[in-house]
Amino acid sequence: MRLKLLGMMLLASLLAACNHSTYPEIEQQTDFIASVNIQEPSLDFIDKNGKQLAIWPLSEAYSGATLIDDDRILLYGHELDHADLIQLSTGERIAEINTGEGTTNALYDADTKLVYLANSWTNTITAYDIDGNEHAKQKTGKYPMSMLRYEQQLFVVNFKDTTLSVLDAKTLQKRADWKIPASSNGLLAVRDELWIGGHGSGSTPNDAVVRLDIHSGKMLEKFKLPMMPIAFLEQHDEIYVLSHGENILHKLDVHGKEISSEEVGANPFALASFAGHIVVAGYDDHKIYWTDGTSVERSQTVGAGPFQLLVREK
Amino acid sequence: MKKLSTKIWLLVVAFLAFTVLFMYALTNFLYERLYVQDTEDAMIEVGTKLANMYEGGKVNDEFVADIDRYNIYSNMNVFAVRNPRELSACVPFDIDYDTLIGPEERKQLVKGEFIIKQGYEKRFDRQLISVVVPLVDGERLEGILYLYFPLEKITELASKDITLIAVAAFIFLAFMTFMTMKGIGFIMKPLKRLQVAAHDMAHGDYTTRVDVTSKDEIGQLSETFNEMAAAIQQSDEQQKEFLANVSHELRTPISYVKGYSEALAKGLIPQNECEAKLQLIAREAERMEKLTTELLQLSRAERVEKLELMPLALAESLREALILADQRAHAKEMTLTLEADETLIVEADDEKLKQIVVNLIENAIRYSEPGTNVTVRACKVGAMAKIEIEDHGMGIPVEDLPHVAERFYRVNKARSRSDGGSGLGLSIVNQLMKAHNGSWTIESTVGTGTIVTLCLPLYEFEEE
Repeated sequence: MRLKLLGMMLLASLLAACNHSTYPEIEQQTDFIASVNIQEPSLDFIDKNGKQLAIWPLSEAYSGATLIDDDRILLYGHELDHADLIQLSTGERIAEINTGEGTTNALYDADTKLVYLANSWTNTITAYDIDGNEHAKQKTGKYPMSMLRYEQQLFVVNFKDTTLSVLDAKTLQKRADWKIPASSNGLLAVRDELWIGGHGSGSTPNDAVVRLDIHSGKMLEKFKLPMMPIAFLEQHDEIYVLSHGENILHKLDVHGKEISSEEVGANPFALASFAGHIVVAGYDDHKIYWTDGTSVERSQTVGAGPFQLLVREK
Repeated sequence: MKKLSTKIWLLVVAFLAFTVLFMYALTNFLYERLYVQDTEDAMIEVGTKLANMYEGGKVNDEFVADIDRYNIYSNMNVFAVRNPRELSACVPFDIDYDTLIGPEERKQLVKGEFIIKQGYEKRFDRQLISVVVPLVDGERLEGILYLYFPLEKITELASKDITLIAVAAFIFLAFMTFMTMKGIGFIMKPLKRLQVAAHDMAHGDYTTRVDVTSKDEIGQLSETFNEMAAAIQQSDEQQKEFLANVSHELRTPISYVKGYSEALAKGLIPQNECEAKLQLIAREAERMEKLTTELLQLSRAERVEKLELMPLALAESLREALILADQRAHAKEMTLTLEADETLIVEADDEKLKQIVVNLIENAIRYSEPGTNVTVRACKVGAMAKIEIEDHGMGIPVEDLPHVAERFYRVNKARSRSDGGSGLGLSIVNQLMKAHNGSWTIESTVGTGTIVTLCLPLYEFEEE
């Protein structure tokens, strides 16, 4: 009798350990912008009117997330050995991808229906299908992080290296290695150019945006943009660049010429376009700022340390 | 480690060494508490005042120049930092660069709180006390003021003089060690003398004494030792005298018995005197028997045999004692009178009590002229029963009274044999009275008589 009871208790505790928390549901038809907060991991879902739809408190040390199609979100962590695929409309986990520790970034490409995961421990890019099955894998330079799919190619910035890896978007076969500065971060395809930002190395902060020929990788003349430009966004032939060192949102034309600049947030790392606004997340002040691209309209508090902004807008 | 003086000396030296170490630690502690705290407070004050010069917005060159200028004239080091790289602004990204402040410190600074650090700083390659004051505009950390002061340990401060300090401490310790050794030697001298005296005594020299030079514990011990030595010497002398007395007392009857029995055996005694000589031999043998019996009694009394104390009707016991002594009184044509309170109950051993009284009555009979009377009285005095035995005999001279209880002590030495006493009776009385928790006294006037007074505790009835 006692043995039976003990067995039942053991089973119950095992079940409890396996049971992943179910998150509040996010309606499939609702547009949202979500801030991925990493100081105390959580997700804030906010609609186009600024109304908070839900808060997902995250029990694991996730350091990033990416949306997959309309109803899935992939949560990964640099210190975690797995990534979790969650269905937004049910809040339930539908798959776990065994990534191994060291995931630095994830990018979903709707065209290829592939999720690319960069890993700083193995220095690889791995492509998974939307159900979490491994599709391809490729070695890169040291510490792959920022990624951008452009036409049939995947550009990968190697953060602790001086190269940018050019891979085939489907097979991940390496096509080229282009020379870039160390500690580069953030990239954007602008016409025939590839713009790359960065933090700078050592104690010297980077204060320029590097331009490469997007077809040949040839280094073009860089332009000054203090201080530490690391996030890019293109909208209606206008380029928004976020310099986290000076808390400045720059608005440039396609030639890199500054149209306007505005001080936004405290130590902002992420920007996104949502409902006709440019939204910026302040990492130190735990707020997101709604701007019209040139000035701040309003701000609202989110979880501690918003580091990424994810947008679902139909 | 056998000598006490060595142990005390080592203990004192250990205490001294401990004190020196403790003073060192205390000085270090005070340095940390006072000097470091004071420096910290000063840096916080200066840092806060300098931070007040910052008016918000970007930290401009002018502000940095002002801080640099202050640094030139100040005794503490201060500089402004506005490089976000140094302020861990890129922390969510893995930076392979040792920043001036860490991510946790950044969180604190963003809230407008200052930071106090103490310890080794890799950037400066030394021990520092540092204070970091944030320059915050709203919730933006625009820069910091970094103030620091080299934290030199007291050993570092005194590094030049460390040899001097160590040598001085060593000389001090050596001097104190020497002085302690001398001091202890001086204190221990009387103890040494005592030890020698005790050793002599153990080897039979009872005349040894020590000089008492002080009134402290050792002085008191020396005095007690001298008293003890005197007591032992006296006891030894008594013992020797006792043995001499016993030998003397036995030798006379033995020589009688030996002489007459040899003469009888050789037929040297005329026939008509034979019976008289045989009677003499028998009398002397009887005397020896009596003497040995009393010696045995005395020995037992001295060993304080366990008495069988019980409630006794005193008058009854006295009456029985009188009957025992009656024959002897009758032989000397004397009378015995008893005047006793019949209600008295004493706590005593019946047999021993009678022995005491009989001894005293026999003494009285022995030293009284025929035809006189011996009176025994008993009455109650407080919680005691008082028993008096009064005779009208020859009495005892005053100078002999203190010695009558001594073994073989006789008032009239010349009459030692003729009066028939062994000289042990009062010694036995003395021992037995002690064993009864009682007391006794003797009063006497030469030519008039003697009164012996015994005091025995009355039996206490338990109240129901």
